[in-house]
Amino acid sequence: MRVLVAEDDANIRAGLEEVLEREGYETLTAADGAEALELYRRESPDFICLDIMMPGIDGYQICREIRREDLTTPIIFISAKSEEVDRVVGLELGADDFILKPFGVNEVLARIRAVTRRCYNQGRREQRPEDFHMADLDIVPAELRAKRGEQTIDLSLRDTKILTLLYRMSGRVVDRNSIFRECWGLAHYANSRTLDQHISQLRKRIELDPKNPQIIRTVHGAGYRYDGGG
Amino acid sequence: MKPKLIAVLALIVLVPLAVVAWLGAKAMGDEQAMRKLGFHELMLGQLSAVDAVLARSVEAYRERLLNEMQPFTLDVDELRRRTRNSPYAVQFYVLGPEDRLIYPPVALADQLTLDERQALERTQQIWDEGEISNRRVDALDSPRGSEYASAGDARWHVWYRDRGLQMILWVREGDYLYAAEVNRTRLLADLITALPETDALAPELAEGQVRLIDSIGRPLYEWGAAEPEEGAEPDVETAVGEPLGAWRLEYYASSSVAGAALGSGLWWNFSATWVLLAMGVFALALYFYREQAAEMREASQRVSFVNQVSHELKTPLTNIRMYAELLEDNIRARDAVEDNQPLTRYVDVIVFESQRLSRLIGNVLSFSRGRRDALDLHPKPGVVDDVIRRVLDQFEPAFESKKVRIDFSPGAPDETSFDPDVLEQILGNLASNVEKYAASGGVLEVASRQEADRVQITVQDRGPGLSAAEGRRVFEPFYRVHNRLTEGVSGTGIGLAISRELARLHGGDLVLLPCEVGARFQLTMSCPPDGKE
Repeated sequence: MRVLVAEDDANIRAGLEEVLEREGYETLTAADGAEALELYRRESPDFICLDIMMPGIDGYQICREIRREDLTTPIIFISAKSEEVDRVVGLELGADDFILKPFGVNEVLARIRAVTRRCYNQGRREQRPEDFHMADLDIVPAELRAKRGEQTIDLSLRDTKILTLLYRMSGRVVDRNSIFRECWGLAHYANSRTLDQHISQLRKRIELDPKNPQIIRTVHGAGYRYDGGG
Repeated sequence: MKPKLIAVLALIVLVPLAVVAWLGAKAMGDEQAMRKLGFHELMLGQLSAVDAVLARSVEAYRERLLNEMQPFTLDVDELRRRTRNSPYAVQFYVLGPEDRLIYPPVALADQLTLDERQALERTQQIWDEGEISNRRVDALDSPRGSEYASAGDARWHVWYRDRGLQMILWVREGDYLYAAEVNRTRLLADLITALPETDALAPELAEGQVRLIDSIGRPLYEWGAAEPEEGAEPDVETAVGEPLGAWRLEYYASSSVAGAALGSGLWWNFSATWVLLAMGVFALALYFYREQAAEMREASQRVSFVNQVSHELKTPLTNIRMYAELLEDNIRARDAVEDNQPLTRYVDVIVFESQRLSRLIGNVLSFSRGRRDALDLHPKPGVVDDVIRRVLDQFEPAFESKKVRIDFSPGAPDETSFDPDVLEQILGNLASNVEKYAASGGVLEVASRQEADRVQITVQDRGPGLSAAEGRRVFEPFYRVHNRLTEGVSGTGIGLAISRELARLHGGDLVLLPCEVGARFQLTMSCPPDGKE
């Protein structure tokens, strides 16, 4: 899933890029309005994070341009403008959400996950990934959630990609490179430590006993495996 | 605010002016009535002086007439000679015993002159009816009927004939009654000659006009500087003393004298004073209004400045917060392999403080929007418990370092429609208060409950709590509890005020519930099932 981030502040842009990539999104970044429009037309991202105050063409104008040709691609405004009128203008132009500066990483994630769910469940129904079971877990990739009985576990896009890959390859070992290629993308530099850390964090959330994992098992020297069943 | 201020100022200005005008008008009315009375009295007094002059003239006339009658004689020729020569009398009369007319000699009717005949025509009725002779002298001293006592024995008899006052002076001498009929023209001339001397006695009269009016309302003489309008009513009038009692004196004040005396100047003075007072009060009100308006403008500029600054702080703060959080995540991920305890603590502080700064800016901006009635809701579908967890997660490191246990009993797991920013801001303020003021309690209990379209969240600490008085004021903007605990603790004093305002905006409320230990806040919000708000 590709996200276009248009933000003139380089640090915020880079920070958002990192947050999104860590979550499993591919990102396209633009430092001004013209670049953002060009990237949008060339790359057709799945959704767009737009700063309002940008040099050249501002966020409102970009939103207006995009909505002229495309009514479904979700647009999230990111802005320091917290006045009622700014929100109203943004939402009337067809934006889907509004993230106010200063924001926390978790807030950005929560909103981006909400938009991703909407992407899966509304606009692009044909793309909606199917639900599946792993051990006692019900995985709902379209909702970025897993359920164990009454308990709901939030998942990142990357988490669902890893789980989907392991599920698809049930019973077989999935090597680190394959996981990287599938879940991080070709552009990403394969780093075993990054992968191990991610799997470790994921286990903490989905395994009943992370020290003795039942869903994502380590195959030493080879990779990871899901044994099937459930 | 401005219309209210204008209304109050208008009230402050108009009410006293109206009261002053009313009291002044009343006082002026009384004063004018008093002056009118005084003026009337004064003019009456002066007319009396004129009357006294008339009386002296009449008295002098009487003396002269009496002189002409004496020595008393019955000689017809002598009486005829006197009648012919007298400037004061038109005819003398003598009545003999039994009140028979001796002169003019009616017994010798053919010898009567024309004047005598005419005189008899005028007076016949008096002699026939005995109008003079039948009066007892001692009864004549009182001014009754038509006879009037005067000095000596001579008395006046007055009657009306030929549209005018006729006068006879009479005196009894033995069996005889001698009488002289007054020459009216001469009397009037004498009176008029005497009148100008009244100018000295009554100078005010001279400025107006005085008229001597006879018994049928005909002006006999008028003098004075003023020329009253046709048909004007006299300002003061009085009857002339006897025997000219049928005449009267009328006084017409000149407009300037009457105006001055009756207080037109008084009105002018009062009006001028009132206008000056009104101008003064208006000037004062205008001054206060301008001062107030300037102050309000300044205050709004200050708010706008704070607003601007708060906005400008957002971008750097976003970076600090986001990168601190990214760093925190990175460090936590490595925790398993290395001991990063001090690093984690440093980053926790940065993250927490940037979150605190975000809350502060959020409160300042909400407060300034609240002042402008610009607060609004942006409800969207979500789970209340998720938001509570997110807020508590933010506070976890801070509470941990202060050894405060977070005890959350979730009870609002269903998706509803609410504004997560608002809920986060309120809970952030409540949790921040616990962290600042009630960390000594060692526990923060949060419980949520969801029923139909309402969500209820209680936040309870075990800290020092609030007294009843503090509890009443704790939601007022800028109120801070000034006890030992707040000393040295930062805060703006608008967190709870904003939180309550936001809760009410969200169809609920934020209240402080009584409890034995610590403080217990209850937040209610109207959260209809998804999409119905």
